[in-house]
Order: sequence, then structure tokens, then C-alpha cells
Amino acid sequence: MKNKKITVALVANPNVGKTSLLNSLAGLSLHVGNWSGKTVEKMQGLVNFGNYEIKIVDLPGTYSISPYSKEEKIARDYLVNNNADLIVQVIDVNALERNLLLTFELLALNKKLILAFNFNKEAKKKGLKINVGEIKKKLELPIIEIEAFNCVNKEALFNKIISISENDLRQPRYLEVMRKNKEEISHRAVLDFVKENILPFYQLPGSDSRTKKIDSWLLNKYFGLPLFFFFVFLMFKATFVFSAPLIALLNYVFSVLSNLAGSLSLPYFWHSLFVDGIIGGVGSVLSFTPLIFILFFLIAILEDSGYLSRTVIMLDRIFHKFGISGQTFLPMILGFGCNVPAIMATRTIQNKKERMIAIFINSFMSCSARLPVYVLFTGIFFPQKAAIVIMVLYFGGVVMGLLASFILSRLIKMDGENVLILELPPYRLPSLKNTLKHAWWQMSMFVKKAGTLILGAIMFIWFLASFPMGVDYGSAQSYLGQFGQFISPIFAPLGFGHWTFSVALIFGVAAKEIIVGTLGTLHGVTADGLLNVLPNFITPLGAFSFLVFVLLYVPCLATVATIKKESGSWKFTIFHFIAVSLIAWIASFIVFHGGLAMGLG
Amino acid sequence: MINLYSLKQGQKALIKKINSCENVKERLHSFGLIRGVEIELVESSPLSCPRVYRCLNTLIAIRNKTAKLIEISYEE
Repeated sequence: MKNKKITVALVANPNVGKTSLLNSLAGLSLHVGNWSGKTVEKMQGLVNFGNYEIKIVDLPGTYSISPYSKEEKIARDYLVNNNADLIVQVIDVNALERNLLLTFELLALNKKLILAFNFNKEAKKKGLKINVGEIKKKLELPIIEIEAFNCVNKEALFNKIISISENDLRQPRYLEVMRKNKEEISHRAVLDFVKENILPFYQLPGSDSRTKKIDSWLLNKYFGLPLFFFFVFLMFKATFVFSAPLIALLNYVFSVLSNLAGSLSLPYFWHSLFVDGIIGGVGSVLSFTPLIFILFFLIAILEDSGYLSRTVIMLDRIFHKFGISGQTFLPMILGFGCNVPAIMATRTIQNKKERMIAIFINSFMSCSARLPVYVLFTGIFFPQKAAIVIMVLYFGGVVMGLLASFILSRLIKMDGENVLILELPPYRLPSLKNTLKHAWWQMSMFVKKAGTLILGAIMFIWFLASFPMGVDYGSAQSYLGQFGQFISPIFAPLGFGHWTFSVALIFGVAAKEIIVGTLGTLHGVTADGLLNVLPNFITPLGAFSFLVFVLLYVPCLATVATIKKESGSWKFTIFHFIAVSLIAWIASFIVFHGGLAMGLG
Repeated sequence: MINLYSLKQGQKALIKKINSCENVKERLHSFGLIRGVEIELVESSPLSCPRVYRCLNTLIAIRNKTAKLIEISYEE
């Protein structure tokens, strides 16, 4: 017998356990993608239940689907234009009234609707008294009490989905009274209805004393910020400490592979293709995966515990002055480790304009791959003041980021006023299963989407560095070397006009780690040997100007690929590429000529 | 005219009117900030903006600038 198909749209306010429900309903069949042309994640799953094939489409968490709200347009567009057979709204019974505001907007769309009441146990423990039977009668809607975290009443929900999809649409009688017009519902009328009909069967306990107690510490006037910085520091430390051995292991595997390829005694060209091109390329994609997995595991814990939204309001006051909100702070800090997962972390920013700005400025945050370049140059040219110079560079990146957001927030004109209205969910214990799953998705998405781009770009650089046939890899005779010599006059006004620096900077676009090695190769010495060689080609002031350039220009191909993936726009990606290169040039020019004018040459 | 910004910690009031553009008003509505709804100042963030209010049993953070657009009246 052929299966009947049902499409279910899952809708809810944020923080009510929708993702957990999706997890327990669809399990392993979940598939993560993007809404077409959008940067917002789209998840869907396929479940076989009885003779039915149920497709579950997860809509982005939303407070409203009114035609006004632009940020929540995806959910509305899907519900209006696509033929979902019915809607399941997940509801946090702790905030029933607020959740019902969305329920009535959904009803106004003339779709079949099932309500899934969640967090019933938690609410009852807190002292909530609720008569679901009566509420069901008054709302004239099917209600299933679930516990999303541990699949309670999953079967009942599926059975209800099937029976409702078989029945005809029956609109509740009260709806007509609430319509402002064909599409809209009067919020005030909804609350009046709820007050009269629902609230007699719904008795809230006093306020959530546990959340209040925790907040009195975490949002405390004196401890709030220090605790916040401490958590960010822990998170940063944990990401890089735990991923380091995994990255080392991956590097080891790839070096074994390289050696294996070497032992085949292939001709130079093929050897280089395997080792520098393919193994190097795949290796650099995979070396990001431990970072992304661990970071997103930690972010999921922050998010599910309820603390993530608190972090947003911590520094909002300062960031607001630069045209962005407190939501940008966390990705900025993470950028000091690696820009790739940091740019992915901007997903927690709902406002599109702010998210674009956050993506743009993240590349100014000095990632850990830039540090070896700083260490080498400061060691050679400023041995007494190395720490101060490096600190100035890190700080300079942050200042540049804030400056850029100040300017961009005025340049980019999008959905008018940027107002921060943010719900702080109650504190809850995150589930390990959910957080691990979340981290796994992010990681596999990165490999699938950004991986191919990075690999392609690295192969391209390899090609330029290896041809014409017969030249040494990356030497002056290769296309890359020739190009480096050709463009080196561009860098002459910045104090580093020697062609080796241009070639190193081009390699640096592939990955910053390569800059030091490239300079060594091109000058025919090891990294230690550069100590004696480099001062012949560049002055200390030129060296500092070079470092400023390294700080500000394109971070690496993986970052470019991630920007493309997260912004969803080649135009924005190319704009970013050109803009940061220009900014780097101008900043280095000012540094170099300012230095000359002050007699530092 | 009293606005939401003048609320003291732990104090409750009723929302009377929202004097913002339609877009912001709709967003505030969807968070439950609707005429006649009770609102309480619960907490202040460490830098004292935004502040955290309780409204329909949820905690909502709003910048002081926005809070000044929301007229309130004290309950009896």
C-alpha cells in the first residue's frame, strides 16, 4: 500500500523547546539546509508513522507572523505560500498568554492547527495550576501535552496529526470577533478573550524564584560583568585547549599521508599535486572541524541554559553607540581564536543588518594564525618591545572593528530602526544529546558548504604556484612569483616593496600560517635564518607597517568561504574582500608615512 | 505622562500606550507589551541599559530609549 503524505509546519516562539521536539519527532532523518536565498537555517525531517509519511518542516522561531515584522518574514511566507497540511505550534505553558498571541495569528491564516503544550512538568513543579481539558474546549483546538526533551506523548501527537489532517478545517467560532481585517488579529481582543475564557483555568504561581536568584548574580551590578568575562575566557580557553590535540592528530595523519605520497617517489609535479594541493587542501578544511565542533557545543550549552541572551544585554550599552547591539560581542571575542567559527557564531544575531556588520568586522579580530607572523617580526625588529607591539595590533583590530561598524551601520540601509527587544528565557539545564547534535550539524554543514570552496581555492593557488611546468613550488619563476613581482610596486609606498613580501601576502590569503614559511623559502633560509636576512630588505617601520597590513587584510580563504556561506551573497563577499584590502593598504600607508614624518624611519 | 523608564525595581504598572513607529509597536505587541497588560521592572543589566521587565510571565529586555516610548499608569 502506498504511503499517504502529510506536511507539518512546526511553529513556535523562541525558547519553548521547538528544536528538542523536532529532534525527538524526526530524529536521525533531520536534514539541515538553508531557506532559499536566505541565511537562516532550515531543518526538515521525514517520519514514517503507520501508513503515513510525515514531513516535518521547522520554521524559524518567531514571536509574530504579522505582515509588519520583516525579520519574521520567512515563517509567514512559508505558511502563506506553501501547502503545509497543518501547523503544530509548540507552547511553553509557563507563558501561555504570550504564546497564545501567536496562536491566534496562526488561526487567522485559515490553517489546521494543533497545540503542543511543553514544559508541563516544570510548570507544575513551579506551582502552575492548569486545566487543559477546559482550555481545549474554550479554544476549540486540539491540544497535546508533551515533554519535548524526552519524547513524552510523541505517538499521541503523531496520531493527532493524522486524524486532524484527515478531517476538514473547522475554524473556532470566536475568531471572527478578533479580526482587525482579513489578515490581522487584534492583540487586545486576544488578551480579552484569554482573560475571560482561559485564565479561570490557568493559575500562575508567583514569579520564577530560581531564575530570579540566578539572575541576581549573573546580572549583578558588580559581579555580572566580571562573571561574564570569566565565562567568555573559559569558553575561549576550552575551545582552543580541547581542539588542539585533535588538530594535532589530524595534522599528524596528514603528515603521514604526505610521507606516504613521498615514498612513492613520484615525479616532482605529481608529488606536489598530492602533497601541497590535495592533502594540504583537505587537511586545511578538516583542521577547522574540531574548533567548530567544540565551539558550537559550548554555544549550544550557553543557548539552551538561557545565559546566551543574558550575554547580549551585558555590553549592549557600549555597542549600541557603535550602531550595533550586544549580540556582536561574543562573535568578536571568538574571532581572536579563529574567524571561521566566529563568523558562523553570528547566527545568533537575528537582525540581518547587524549580522552583516558583525560578519564584516570579524575579520579585523586578530585570529591565532596571525600570531606567528607577529612573533617572528617583532622578535627580529622590536625584540625589547615585542609584547607591547603585539598588544597594539590586537587592540588596533578591535578599534578598527568598532570604527567599521560605526560607519557601516550608517551606510547600510535596511529595515529601519534597529530596536533591541529580547526575551530572557528561564534558566534550564541543557540536554547533552541536543547540544552534541547541534555541534555535529554545524560541523558537517561547514565541511559540506565551505569545504568545497576552500578546497577549490587552495587548488587554484597551488596551480599558480606550480606552473609553468618545471618551476620550483612558489618560486619567483612561478605564475604566483611573477604576479608577486608585478604587484610589488603597490606595496612600495607602505614600506615593504620587495617582491618576496608580496608573494608571502598572496600565500597569506590562503592561510596566515604560510606567510612565515613562504618568506623563509623565498629567501632560501629557515624561519630562524630570517633573523639575519629580513633586516636587509625592510626597516623596522616597514616591518610594523607589514604587520598592520597582515592584521587588516583578507584573513584567509576559509574565512572568505565562510563569509560567502553565512552572508549568502557573493556581492557582499567580494565587497568585504576588496574593502578590507583597501583598508589595510590605507592603514599601513598612514602608519608608514606617519612614522616617517615622526622621524621613526 | 509617566513612562516605563520611570518604573522602580520591583514596581508594577499597566501599559497605557506605545508612542513608537508602527514597526516597533508591532514588535512590542508580539512580545506581549499591549495596552492594559501588567509590567514589572525586575532587573537592570550591569551597565543599567537595557533593563529587564516581566510581562505575561516572561522576561523581556528593553533599552531605556525604547522604554521611554511606552506610557504606563500605576495600578490602584
